[in-house]
Amino acid sequence: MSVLTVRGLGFQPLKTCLFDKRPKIAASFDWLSGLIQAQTQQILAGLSDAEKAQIDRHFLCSTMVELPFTTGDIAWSEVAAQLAEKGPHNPDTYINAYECASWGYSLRHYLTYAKPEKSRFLLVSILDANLYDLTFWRYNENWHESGFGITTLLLEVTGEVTDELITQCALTHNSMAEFATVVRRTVTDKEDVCLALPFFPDHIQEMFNKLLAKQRRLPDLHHNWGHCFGSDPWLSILCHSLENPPREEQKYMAASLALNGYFAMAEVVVNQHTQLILNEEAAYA
Amino acid sequence: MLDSLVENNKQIESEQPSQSELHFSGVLTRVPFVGKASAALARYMPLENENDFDVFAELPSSKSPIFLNFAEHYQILDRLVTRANTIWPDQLCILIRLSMPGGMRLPKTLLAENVLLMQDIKPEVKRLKLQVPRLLVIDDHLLRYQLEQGHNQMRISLYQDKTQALLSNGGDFKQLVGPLTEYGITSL
Repeated sequence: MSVLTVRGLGFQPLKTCLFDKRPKIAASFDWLSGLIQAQTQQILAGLSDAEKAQIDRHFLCSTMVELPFTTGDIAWSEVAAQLAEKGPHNPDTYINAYECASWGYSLRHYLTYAKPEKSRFLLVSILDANLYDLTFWRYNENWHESGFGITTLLLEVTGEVTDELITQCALTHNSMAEFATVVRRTVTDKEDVCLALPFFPDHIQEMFNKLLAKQRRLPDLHHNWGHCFGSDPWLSILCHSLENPPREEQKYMAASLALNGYFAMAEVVVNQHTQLILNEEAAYA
Repeated sequence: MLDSLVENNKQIESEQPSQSELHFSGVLTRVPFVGKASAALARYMPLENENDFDVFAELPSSKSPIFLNFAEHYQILDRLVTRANTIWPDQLCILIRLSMPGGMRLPKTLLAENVLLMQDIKPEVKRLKLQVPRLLVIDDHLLRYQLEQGHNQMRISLYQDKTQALLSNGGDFKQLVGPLTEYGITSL
């Protein structure tokens, strides 16, 4: 019995090239805030008012949306104000230091410090968008094509989380192989858990094929979506669940690896009540 | 000298009279590790097409001097967090303003369970300062490369149970921030 249940999971794909003419960064974030708000409302549609009242907080994570904040093009407080204006339950905290593993470290912090009486529901959104349309983020030698979008995940915590969540950092500089080894070790004796891993080009997939040959894995969707940063494992679970609607509890180990060697893994349950939403690709109008 | 480092030691009167807070505000005025070679660790994103160059030509630029690299910044944070964990071995939650770009792998102290790294610490301070027994906040804008904005300022705050504060009379906080002068971070 896993204590982390996915109550809702959505992905809003974003076009690689978002703009015909790039707007001011505040306008870009206002548009993205609207998408986050809309996705959050979609995800929460299945909750009763009593359950909505138990949503403690909402993190916004990212890997590659940093330049606007680093350069002072916009401040997080301005984005948070845009989000707050649009309605309740929107994110107020922005975390990207852990790169693709940021969602796991956010979850860890939440589980460590949330008030016990308020710790039932948690929202995490993962935003990656090529706001300046930079070539590096379209394609680079590390992961080839990138994919962009917004994931929103609604987790219900139904008990004390112990080994269901792992946040670590690689000890070596061969973090990919080390990650695969830790994943393998983590799911040993968990035959009912299926792996949802990050999307990588063929030559990296080959490493997983070899090091995780005996483990159940969802297919790598790099050919369909590119590398979608921290969204990958969640998009993987979403696509699989839409194609194969769960009739009973399905257990997954969602795992992300960051370029600097941080990784996060969460054992979660998806069931027939999980709200699953895959939206049409969006671009700034 | 150390007394002048602690800017403020006031009791929160309104919601939770049992909590106190201490603040240090400083600025980095020179290279932190004098006489030691400093590697050029900042990497610039490869720029390929017209748009890439247009974007970078338009980005704001800071006039503040750059005194350290990523490794030195993490070294200062690592030492601060290690010292804080030694001074307050129990019930210490640490928030640090730290974001991408990482530049290099973070030291393990900064990845520990009692630390959260984020873009803007204010929402989390508001949430946790009356909730956890002891909250340490490191909010710095020490510039590591040309595109970063800020003025090399560092603010450190401690929110804690008043009983604990009375026991130390600010001495433990001074013990934490005092050595910052060794890195050229002087009190404002």
